[in-house]
Amino acid sequence: MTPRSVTHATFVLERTYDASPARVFKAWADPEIKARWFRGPDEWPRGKYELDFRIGGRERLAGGPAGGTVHFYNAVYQDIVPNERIIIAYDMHLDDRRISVSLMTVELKPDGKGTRLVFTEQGAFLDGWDETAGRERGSVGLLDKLGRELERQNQE
Amino acid sequence: MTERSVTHATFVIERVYDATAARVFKAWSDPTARDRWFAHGEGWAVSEYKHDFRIGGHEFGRFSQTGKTVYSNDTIYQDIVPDNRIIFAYTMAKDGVNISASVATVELKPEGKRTRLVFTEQGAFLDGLDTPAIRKGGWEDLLNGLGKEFAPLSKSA
Repeated sequence: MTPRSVTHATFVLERTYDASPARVFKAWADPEIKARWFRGPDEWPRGKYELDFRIGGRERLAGGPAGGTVHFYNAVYQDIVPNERIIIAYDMHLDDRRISVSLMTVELKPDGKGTRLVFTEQGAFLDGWDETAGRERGSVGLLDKLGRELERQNQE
Repeated sequence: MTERSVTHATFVIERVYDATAARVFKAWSDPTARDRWFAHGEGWAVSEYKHDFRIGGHEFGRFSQTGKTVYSNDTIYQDIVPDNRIIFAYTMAKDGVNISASVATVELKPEGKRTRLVFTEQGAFLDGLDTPAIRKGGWEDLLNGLGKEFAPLSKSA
């Protein structure tokens, strides 16, 4: 039997992007754009991705190293304020183990011609399968990928 | 235009109940019991609740103290370990406008014949429409009401 435990933790990340809040928001709201940056490490094969971007809508991403552990992200949208705020509740699974349940808040604030993004994760990490530091590293990686996507759009 | 703000907060409430973990768990999983201490726990004029206690289950409730301002609650169960743990994500709205989004963890820990319940809420309180202190007070009242579910046994024991 799995020994049960819950570790609660919160972390906050901030980024400033050279793009308007409307363009940063669209990178979260548009399934085609989000699929470009919302993914695991580059070496992982592209997994199955679905996004229904509305309050109550679902989002799912399955991925992982080829032939290895399946990482499954399962989300529901809790609050959306266009160009300003997105709140997502999500759980993460490794194969059939649920390793965390979290609330992710994304706030977009105009900063000159750009946007300051404040990312807050409030997580319940389960049964010793995950830890906050790893989740924070993963989130840093995602926000860096988002930055590269917005930079790529600036070059177009 | 609404001035947007988010206050993030975590609070913890602990209660020790004179009941087994299985019995405390059942007070959450059984719709009749939960109607008593949760949906109708505060004796409000309008109170309706649709139960769906399973992982992925979606619950919806409406509450009103006066019949005017209506509060609603949308809950999705994220994790359920029988007699041990319940994790749910929920939003509260006031007249259809979101005032909070939260993840709540309920842990049940046996202590002899009793059970310690540890309730942890990790919340985002929105646009100044709700506060962590008000929410914590609400849950303290509800968890006191949950304790009354077990009172008759402790008297006769």
